[in-house]
Amino acid sequence: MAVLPPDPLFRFKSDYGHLHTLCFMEPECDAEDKDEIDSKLQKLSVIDGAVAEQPKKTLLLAAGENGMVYFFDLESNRLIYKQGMGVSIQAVHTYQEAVIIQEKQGLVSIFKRSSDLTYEKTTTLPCASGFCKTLRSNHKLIIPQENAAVDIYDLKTHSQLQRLQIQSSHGCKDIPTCLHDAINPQQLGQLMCLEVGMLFTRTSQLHQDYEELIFAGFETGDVFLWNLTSGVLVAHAKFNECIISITYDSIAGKGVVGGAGGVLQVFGVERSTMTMKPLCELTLTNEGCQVVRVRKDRKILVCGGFDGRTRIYSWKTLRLLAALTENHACVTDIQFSEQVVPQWGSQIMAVSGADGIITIWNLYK
Amino acid sequence: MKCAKIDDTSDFDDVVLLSQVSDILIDFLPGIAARLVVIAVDDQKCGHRIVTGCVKAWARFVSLLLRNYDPVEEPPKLEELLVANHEISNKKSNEIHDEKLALCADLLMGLTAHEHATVRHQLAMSSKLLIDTVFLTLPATSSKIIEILIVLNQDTEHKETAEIASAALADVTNKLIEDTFRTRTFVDNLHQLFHRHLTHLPNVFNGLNTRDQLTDVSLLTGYLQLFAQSSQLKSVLFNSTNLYKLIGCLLYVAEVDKSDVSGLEEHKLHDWKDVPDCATPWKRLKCNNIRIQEQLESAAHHLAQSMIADIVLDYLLDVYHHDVERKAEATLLMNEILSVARLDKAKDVMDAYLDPHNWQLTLSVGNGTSLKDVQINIIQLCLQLEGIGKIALAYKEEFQLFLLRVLYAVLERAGSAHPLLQSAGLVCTANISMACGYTSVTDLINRNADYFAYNVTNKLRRRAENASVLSVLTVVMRHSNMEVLPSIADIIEGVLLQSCDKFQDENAAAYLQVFAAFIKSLHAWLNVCVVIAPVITKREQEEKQEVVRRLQWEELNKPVDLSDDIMEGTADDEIVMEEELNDDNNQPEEFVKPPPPKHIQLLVKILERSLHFLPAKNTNCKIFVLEILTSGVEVLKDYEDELLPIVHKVWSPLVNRFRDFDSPLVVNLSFILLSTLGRLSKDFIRMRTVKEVLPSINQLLIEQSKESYLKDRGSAYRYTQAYKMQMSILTGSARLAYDLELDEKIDIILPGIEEYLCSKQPVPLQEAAMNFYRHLHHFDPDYGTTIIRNLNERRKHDDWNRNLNILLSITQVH
Repeated sequence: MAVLPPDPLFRFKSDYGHLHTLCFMEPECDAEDKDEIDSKLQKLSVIDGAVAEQPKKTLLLAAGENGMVYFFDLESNRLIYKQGMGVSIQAVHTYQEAVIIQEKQGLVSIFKRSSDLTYEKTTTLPCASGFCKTLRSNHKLIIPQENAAVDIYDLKTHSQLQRLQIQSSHGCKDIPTCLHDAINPQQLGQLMCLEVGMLFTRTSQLHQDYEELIFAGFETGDVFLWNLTSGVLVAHAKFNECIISITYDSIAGKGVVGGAGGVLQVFGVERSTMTMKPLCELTLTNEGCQVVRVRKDRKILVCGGFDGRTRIYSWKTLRLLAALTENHACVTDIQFSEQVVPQWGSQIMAVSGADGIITIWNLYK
Repeated sequence: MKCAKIDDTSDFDDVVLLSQVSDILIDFLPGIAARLVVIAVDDQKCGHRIVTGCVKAWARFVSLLLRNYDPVEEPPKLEELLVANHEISNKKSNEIHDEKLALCADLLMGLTAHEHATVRHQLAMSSKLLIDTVFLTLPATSSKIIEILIVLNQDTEHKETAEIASAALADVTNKLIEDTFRTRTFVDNLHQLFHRHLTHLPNVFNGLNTRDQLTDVSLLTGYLQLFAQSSQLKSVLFNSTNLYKLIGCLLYVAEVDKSDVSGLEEHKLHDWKDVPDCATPWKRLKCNNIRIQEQLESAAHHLAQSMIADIVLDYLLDVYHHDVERKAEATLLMNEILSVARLDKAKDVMDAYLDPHNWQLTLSVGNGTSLKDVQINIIQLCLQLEGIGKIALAYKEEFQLFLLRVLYAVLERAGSAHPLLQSAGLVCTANISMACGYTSVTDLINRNADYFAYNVTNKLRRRAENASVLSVLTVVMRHSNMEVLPSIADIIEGVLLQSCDKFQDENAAAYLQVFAAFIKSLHAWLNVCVVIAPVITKREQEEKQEVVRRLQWEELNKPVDLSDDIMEGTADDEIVMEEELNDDNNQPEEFVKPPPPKHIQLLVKILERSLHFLPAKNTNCKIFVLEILTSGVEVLKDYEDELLPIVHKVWSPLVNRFRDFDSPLVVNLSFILLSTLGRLSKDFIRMRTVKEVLPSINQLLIEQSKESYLKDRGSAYRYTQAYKMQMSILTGSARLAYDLELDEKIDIILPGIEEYLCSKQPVPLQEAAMNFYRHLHHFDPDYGTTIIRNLNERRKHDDWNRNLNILLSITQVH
């Protein structure tokens, strides 16, 4: 390579084991939240608790095979707390002050902060076992279930809101229009990944409303798209086998599917007809992509490979901008902070790897 | 004085009487006042009593005539104003007097520098009197008087004077705070004077009168203090003309002397000083007066306490960025301002300091950089370091958050080869350590090793751009202890990993340098020292063995013990071979030895990796590797299980080095390594040495002897590497023979060594060769004698006679 890759902002390196997942814990919930007032009320009640005394900092949470959840302070860039919360944690999320983890054997557990600064398990939710990571979207937690089903839970009440399913040809009379052939959910293999998106519907000149979309990718390469608002399966497409990750850019209506193969597949969703079809392919130097993400600002597409490289593409031109070489084993997760992290004066990206190395970056702003 | 009722005995409390007197004498005021002042300032030569008297009289006179006899001056009502015409005229006359008297006060200003303390004391007293009495009636004069007081306040020779002045000033401050309405004219005057002073100051500094300069700077500081205390500074400096003028003045005064700085590098490391050394040899002002510098600093401190610090800092930052000429001065001022209080702006300033444009300055002459540039850069960096240290001290524990960025940068400078930069870096590090509450610099480094490791790893990868990273690593390793080993080990492992990369060749030297530094610090941490056992002669050895054998015999004769094979043959080659095999297979036996400590494991890895570079084409690399190996095996001496495999692995690349005849340095170092290996692993390498190395050495000696033949007197040969190599081999061979128990096998190199007995060889080489024979003879007289006799018989050339005769005489002693 002619140009050396840029340097990370910092590198957390210790015996963290095989990491699976990262999550930014930020002082405030996302502002574009629909139920903003509601969440603010909730926050007030939190402030009453013991937590309120400390100024809130941005933390980075990481968890992995050894079941520990590590809390990194992004101000001092040091590990400030760790707690064993399960076994082989696949995904970790934060919701207000709560920490949500998903274990590989199934089961999602919600931990609340108790007065002595430790976390206590308060609720568990059912979940399919496997590698598919749960997803948090505002107040909703999207959990993969057995038999190609996806459950939507409300994080405020911990109750199930919805169940999305692919109706098998013999189970239900009306086959969704998007499915040209009858598909047997039993033959899809494991559910591998989930992604949320938005479908913007203009209601008036000034007001834009949106409907939520959910993508689900299966081992066989099938990707299904539900409209969450209406609960209807709206589209289906077939990609290369062994999908591991999907990302979707709601504004452009384009997304990327990454998997164990040697290519990234870019797809588009035609919003008028709600059809999903592959557009082009990006060839990877080394086979295998564990995670793909389009950054919120839609400037870059990031792909974490089995080879430990984090490849950064321009999302507009799909040109490779850089390959970050900080990890020496498979890149396992990539996350972007929602807000500016004060210490770095910018929104940042965090990358974790199977070698237990976490790096944080500030790139291509 | 008597008639004006102002002699010492008069009663100053009789207001009515005084008022009447004043009414009578008012018309004489101008003449008397002016005359008195003229007498006072006329000539320093006249007695101080006269001057004192004049000053006293003048002040009392003025105060008597123009004091404010009507302290409760209520705002006049309209009809009163209409009636009281004469009062207005009175006021007008006051204004006229004020103008005149201000001129007098101007003259009196000169007395502040009067040699005699009593005069200054009286001046202070009189000024105080005037401030007390005519403060409101004579605003212009009062402001002049204030200037006098400000200057007197800085009187270091006569404490009392300074105290009086400071009390009077405090009084004024109170008045200004309490009564903003009535003091307005006075304040306006003061502002005007301040402004005029600012305009005037650079002129003074263009001159050479240090006394004037000091007075002027003191005045400036006094003004700032007065304004700051009466919370006027804001209103004064919100006027941008004033602000720029003020900063301009300060920058002018702060002009840093940037010449006379050595641009030379000194490769020597000083120890940390845990108590920060306050000496700042890099900060030398052009005016070269410590008092002026103090005044300047306190002026900056007044600015820091005020609300306008942010504006001032912004302005200075602007100067810092855009005005190359005044960059150092701006830095100096910002440092002083930031040292007083914890200001948020410090972050911006530090960002500016650490910006690569301002931090990675060229420090070597050449490539369009003149010595002057280098000097400027050094001073600039020193000032920035000083500033960071000061900011740290102001931030205290809060500074911890900046360590990720700052620590490495500072250590980089602490490891600099420029003595000034180095000491600035060390002071800064010590300051940071103290600020953050660490017990020592070592503690600071140990506990922040993660930040440091992160930076080093990054910089190592781009070594071309960050050449100093190695010096930092070296500094840290030198000044930390074993505690820091885990994170250092991490870095080293990273380097090890990187060095396996296919791009290794370009960076090989850099990696090797790190390894060398690591081994060097291991030496320091583990207190490794080279032990050279004294030579035991063959006879002594035999005697010893005799004792052992006898004991053994006795033991054997005891019926039960069967463990005789332990003592059989001390250095059989077969055993050596067996050992090798064992090491190669590395099979665990029943007893599993605990693994060696982490640093030893790492060292082994390093040595193994370094070995790969030994056959490299690059001579520098070879040299490095040989040095690394030599010092590395020294550390391993107590870990035989690790040492012997390394020795084994070193062997084949090492042997080939003895054939690099064109690079005497490599051969020299290889020989040193061989000697070290011989000393540490003894007969482990005997056979191989005899078979593979000695013939090469012999050949080398013979060939080189032709080079050095007739090259002593008046030639530069003694400075060549070839000479050093010959010297090293000739001096080291005897010891090598002893360590390896070569005995008669040393024969192989004798033909080479005897060449140096020729008297046409450089004298030290002859001497070294002679010593070789002496050692040989000392160790084993019989064998030594044989060799020397043998030489004598073959006596090749007459040139040998002198040395041979000496040698023969040794043999005859026995």
